[in-house]
Amino acid sequence: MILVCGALPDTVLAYTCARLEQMDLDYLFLDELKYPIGYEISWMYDNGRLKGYIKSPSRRIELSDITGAYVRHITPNGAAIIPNATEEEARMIRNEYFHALDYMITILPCVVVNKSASQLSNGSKPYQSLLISQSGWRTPKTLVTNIPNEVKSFFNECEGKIIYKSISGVRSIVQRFKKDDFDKINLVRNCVTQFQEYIEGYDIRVHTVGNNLFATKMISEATDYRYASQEGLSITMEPTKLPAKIEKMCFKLTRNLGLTMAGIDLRRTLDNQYYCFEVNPSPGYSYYELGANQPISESLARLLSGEELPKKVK
Amino acid sequence: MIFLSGKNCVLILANEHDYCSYAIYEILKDEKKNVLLIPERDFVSKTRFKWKFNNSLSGHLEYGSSSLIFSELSGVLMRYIGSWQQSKDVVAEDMAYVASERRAAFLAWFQSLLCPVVNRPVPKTILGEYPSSFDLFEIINQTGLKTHKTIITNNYQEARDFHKICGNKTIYSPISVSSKYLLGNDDIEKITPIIKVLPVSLHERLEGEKIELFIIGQKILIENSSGKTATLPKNIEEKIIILNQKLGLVFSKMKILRIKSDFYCLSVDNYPQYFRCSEELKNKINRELLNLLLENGGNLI
Repeated sequence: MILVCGALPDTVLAYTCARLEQMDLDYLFLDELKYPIGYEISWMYDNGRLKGYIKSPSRRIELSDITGAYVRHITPNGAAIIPNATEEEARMIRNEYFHALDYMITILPCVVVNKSASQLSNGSKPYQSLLISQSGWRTPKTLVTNIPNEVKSFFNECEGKIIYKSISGVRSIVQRFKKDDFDKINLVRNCVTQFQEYIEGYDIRVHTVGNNLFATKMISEATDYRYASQEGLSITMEPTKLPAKIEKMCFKLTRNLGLTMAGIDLRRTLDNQYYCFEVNPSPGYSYYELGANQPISESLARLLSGEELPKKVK
Repeated sequence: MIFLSGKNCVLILANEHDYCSYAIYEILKDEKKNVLLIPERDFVSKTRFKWKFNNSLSGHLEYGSSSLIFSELSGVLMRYIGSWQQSKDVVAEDMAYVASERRAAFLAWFQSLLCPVVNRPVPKTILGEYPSSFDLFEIINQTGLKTHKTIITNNYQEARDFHKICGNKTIYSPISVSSKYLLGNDDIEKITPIIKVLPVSLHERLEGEKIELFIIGQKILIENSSGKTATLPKNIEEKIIILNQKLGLVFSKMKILRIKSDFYCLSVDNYPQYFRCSEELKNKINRELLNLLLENGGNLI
């Protein structure tokens, strides 16, 4: 039995459910647009032992039968409309129910893709970058500052090749910093900002799924390939093979961050060095699966069904 | 600009109502140590900050007429309650974004410092909740200490059965809010209206010898409020220190319950207060904190 938590307007979650159905794998979909209305949740924790159940409007499952959980929360506290409650009461009810569910997921003894706590490193890019570099990866030279003159020094130090992007988990479009941008550089006084040396090369998106790895080469002229179309540029994807050492480092990094599935952003330089930029703990993998025809969802489904357990990476 | 330098440089991020922040500051000043205290409310809004990292770490922080070089820090005492994460000083449409960028930047910066940080923030303390009791339960159990039985349910019959299993003695608490209510024999009926709209959390109410203790690095100091000296077996002390380390803490307060030969960890406080303790205990805690903050700079006191 697989537990899937999230909402169907999330295309990645819907894609995963479609794959589970296509593979005829049994799953309970906990619809976060409706939860807790019509749901019952009850579980007991006694010194390492968890037992209990979840009852949806259609069926009841025992926690001990769950082989894997796939979780993509839509908001921190759910979104259900609570009847006969003020907005404040509804917020409180959703919050309590969200924690009743999320704490249970935290201690589920099966594979969870991914636990909330393991996703937090992505909330601070430089924090995650420190963890990435502690796992043995090359990371770009980085400056975090609210002092305009320091940006000028860093720009010169990197021979005018720098980018800027958000520090937190708020999604931002990676931008090249150009000479014209010095006109607005005083704005950094208002908000501490992250700058990085620009690394030339091509992007590789890696998905680790339990013991499997899928590397996708991204071919685009855009600084941030995710937004290539907005710049009027094209993007193509193709499967690629990584050196064994790099594959091993990807698995190790996934584990070190407490994840069972990860989307890892690499850049391969012209002299064959690999830089790691970021790890996405809740990757939108379907975009890459469809772009490069790689069986990521099938691998994910097998992991959730308990067919394979993640190995420990030495 | 005064440049603070030398290995004895201590940074205190102070909460203005906190005894610990100002006690440590006063002792360091008396000892003529380099110390910079930044009130929490000024930490982000009135500092100038440069942090550069790749294979090495460099940078500095300016506050008023002081400038502090990161590589020369001996220790950091963080006594924040979170107000520095807000952006009340900024009036802009994107205040929420500014606040989230600040949190993310300073979380990473504290993590990168090579000196002792008491306590070094982790994502859960800054970006989320810490410790969620169930994250904590798992870690406590891994160290070999025990935790009380707990149920979370929105089914009244399940709650009632659990209350009965626990000898009609449980503690009711909301799941995401820190408060608790003791439930006795017939009190389980009182949760009926609650459970109709909310899930409830019930813990078994255990009775035994309550021990409150402070952990500072490798040292355990026991609160002696009853006038009786409480002691712990060596192996339990070791487990407590391991638990503290696993939680990423240097300074904490724990409530331990001894029932025969079993030791339960009831709570961990990562922002311990000790202004109500005896003078003797206060002095001991201050001394241990100072030793930690100055461990790169020699002995003190």
